[in-house]
Amino acid sequence: MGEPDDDEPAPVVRRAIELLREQPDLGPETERHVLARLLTDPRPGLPRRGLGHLAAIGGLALAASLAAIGLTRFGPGSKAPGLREVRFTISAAAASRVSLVGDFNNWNPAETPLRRVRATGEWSVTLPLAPGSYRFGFLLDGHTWQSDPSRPAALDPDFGTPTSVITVEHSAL
Amino acid sequence: MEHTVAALVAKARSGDLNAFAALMAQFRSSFGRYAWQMLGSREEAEEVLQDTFLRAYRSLAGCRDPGRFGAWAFRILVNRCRSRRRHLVRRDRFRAEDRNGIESLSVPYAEEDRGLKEAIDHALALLPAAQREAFLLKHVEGLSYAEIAEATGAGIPALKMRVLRACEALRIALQGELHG
Repeated sequence: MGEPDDDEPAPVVRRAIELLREQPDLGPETERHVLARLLTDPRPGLPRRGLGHLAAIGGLALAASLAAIGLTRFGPGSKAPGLREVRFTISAAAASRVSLVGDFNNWNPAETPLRRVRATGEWSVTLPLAPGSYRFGFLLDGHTWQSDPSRPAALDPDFGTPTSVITVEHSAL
Repeated sequence: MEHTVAALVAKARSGDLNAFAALMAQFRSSFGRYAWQMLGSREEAEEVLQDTFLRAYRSLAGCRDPGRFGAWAFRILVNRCRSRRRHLVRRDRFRAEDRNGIESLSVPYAEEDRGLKEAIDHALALLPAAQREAFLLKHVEGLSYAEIAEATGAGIPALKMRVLRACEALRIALQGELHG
């Protein structure tokens, strides 16, 4: 809650505030729609545990059908037809661990750890990605955000963190 | 077993949708109320709220203080409401001065409050968006000025001025509506 008000609103405004606070809730439909969209998100690497909640809020049939879709998770080293292998590198000598987070792995820092490849502090990981554009960044030691200076920047106004963009072209091979 | 917000965020980050659903349930009421009152439409509020939660989930790695997930996500919500409102204004589907553009709430308010509630909806819709935003966050959602500054990107002195002006505009608009 906030600090004491500098100026207490007039009685009619206080009554208005009380009534505004009584606004009805939008209801659990919102959560159901969000969960359904997360579960059917076509991007690879999307975590999809927790179907039980859909059942709990009345979406058992939906949960079952979504689970039957066939869910694929990509990790370093796996590759499916139509994907291109993309190498991400960053120089971070002082870091003890580095994660790649982006649209392709649902910004999940546990999904794609980088490996230190040189004593000089270069970290690297190779990912199979479908053609398209992806926003991404690196997370150093679990808390320090860093963009990729070798890629175009995409400043996301929602989150205020420097983010890079990579575009994966269709393979000519 | 009850989990703290920070624990739920940690679980959600590892892909636990149950945990994220619990976070949504915890913040849905406040976020939905704000979006509805900012946009004047339940339908628009639902859309913006879904978009906010989707963006929050996909960007959980950027939530640097998981214990303050609510304040962090409120910032996303404020931006989504601003963006949606700009879009609606451009499409001429939302006109603050057009009473018909403001949806009445379906909640069965007490008879004596119904007239006041309609007057409030109208007066609120006439406020400049920045004043309405600051007023709702301060007085309806109960955020501190520091939290509002974080959510809106505005400075605290400017926010205090907006809240004051909003209160004064509402007081003038609602004069005579409070009986008894």
